[in-house]
Amino acid sequence: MGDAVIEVKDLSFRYNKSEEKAVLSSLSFTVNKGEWIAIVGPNGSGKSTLANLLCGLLKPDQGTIYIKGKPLNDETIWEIREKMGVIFQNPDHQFIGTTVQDDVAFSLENMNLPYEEMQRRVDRALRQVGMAEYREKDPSYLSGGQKRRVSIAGILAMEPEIIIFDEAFTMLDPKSRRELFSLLKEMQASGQLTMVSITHDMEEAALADRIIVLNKGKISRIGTPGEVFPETTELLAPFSERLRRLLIQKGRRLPDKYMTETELIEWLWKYNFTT
Amino acid sequence: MNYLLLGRYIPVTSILHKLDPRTKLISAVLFIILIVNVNNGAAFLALWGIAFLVMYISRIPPRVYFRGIKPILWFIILTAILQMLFTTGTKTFFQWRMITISDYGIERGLFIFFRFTLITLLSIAVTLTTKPIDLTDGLSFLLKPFQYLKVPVNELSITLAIAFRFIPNLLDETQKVMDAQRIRGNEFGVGSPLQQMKALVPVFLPIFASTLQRSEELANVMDVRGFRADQKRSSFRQLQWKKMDTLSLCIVIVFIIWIRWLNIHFN
Repeated sequence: MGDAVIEVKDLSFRYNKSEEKAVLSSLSFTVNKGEWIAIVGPNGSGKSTLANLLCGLLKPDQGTIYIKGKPLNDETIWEIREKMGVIFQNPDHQFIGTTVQDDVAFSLENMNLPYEEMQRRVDRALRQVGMAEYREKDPSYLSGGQKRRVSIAGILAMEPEIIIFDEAFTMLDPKSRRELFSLLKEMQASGQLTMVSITHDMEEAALADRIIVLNKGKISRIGTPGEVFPETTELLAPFSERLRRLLIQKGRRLPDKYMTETELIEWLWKYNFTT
Repeated sequence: MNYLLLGRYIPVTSILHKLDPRTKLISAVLFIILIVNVNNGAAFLALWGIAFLVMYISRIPPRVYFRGIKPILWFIILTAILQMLFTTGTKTFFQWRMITISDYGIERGLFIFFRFTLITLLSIAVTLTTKPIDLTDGLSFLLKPFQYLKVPVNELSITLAIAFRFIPNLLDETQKVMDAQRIRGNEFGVGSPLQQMKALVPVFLPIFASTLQRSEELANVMDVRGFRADQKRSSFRQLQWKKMDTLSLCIVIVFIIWIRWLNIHFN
């Protein structure tokens, strides 16, 4: 195990403090440096609440979240936010700047960075997400996927260590979603970035290193996609897994383990070839 | 929905567009103070000349300017007519009870009309040639001294900037809601004024609700992205004062002195 970047200990939360029923009850898990974790679960499982707790928009009733060893509280929150980026669901509602570059610079302005430094970072972040030629454009000119890229650039410009995606790709069309997933893979490749994606899109979850399955405010399963998908029935599995199960139902003999889309294609192609 | 945005920024290339927003704001304020204090025909003639010059160098067709005046034209005309009807002068052309039309009254009415139209034209010239965001930056720079009087200038300017940013979204949303209502058989712009107002209720409610929702999301985003109202922030947008701005301001001051002179000399 590497060093833990996010450590959640015994976390509980209720929206209605007078009620017994908790949205999250004694959650504990750790996320290691450079790891990509997906938190999945059905509606009402407490995923989004967990996201809001992780970025300090809500305060836990019980338990502590440690970010790089520091407990998340009123004193540390601003320091932690300089190292942590969050991307929410609606790209339109989080576009604060009037132009692409203004939006990317927003966090940097808040960090009170000098002008030259901001120019340098904005430039690099926009090139990283492939939006450099749009820097003067205003948001109404951009597509959903492009706005999403801009919000990612806004986070990358902060040079963060943690990025949290809260249903960040649900409002996009499949094509731009796939393009963004490969961008995320690239971002993760450096090994410096820890990513948490909160999602109900299993294609997105399948890309993560580990998956945490939430159910009714509790962790019901934790493991790699290969471990979680075949044994979990409460989730809508990714397309490749559903196809694999269907083929097994039809009496075909397939390996008894989770396969990524490429693995499955590879396997099916051979399957056709021999029979 | 575009007619709602009279006097909105029009992106063409002109000297006026390239000027620093501060230059344009200062000039506009100086001219407005001048216009309020001018009271003879020669000076007004010169001011009209300047107004047309400004329109010409802005490279924006005059009809755009006049469309900008239209909504308040009736108000201006009414004010001018009232001045004309109730001012007594040395020569009276017509009198009936309280109503008098005199030489002085006509002059006053005409001058009021000129004042309002000139002020509107010059203000529109500023908004047509300056992006809202630059205008905000310029304003917040010029209002900086008021910080010492505990006026939260920085907060005000970021509020204004965000408001400008979301105007197009709001208009889009209004259009969508109106379309959705139209599909359900709601008609807009027909019937008595009361009926027309009633037709708008189901439009405003959803927009109001979604705006509240949006502002909450936006507040969360700003929070998470590290925005703190009481902290010092640096600024990514930099205003650049160029030689052209100094020169333009000098020309404006020369014009103002000239018109002041005309105003005194021909009285």
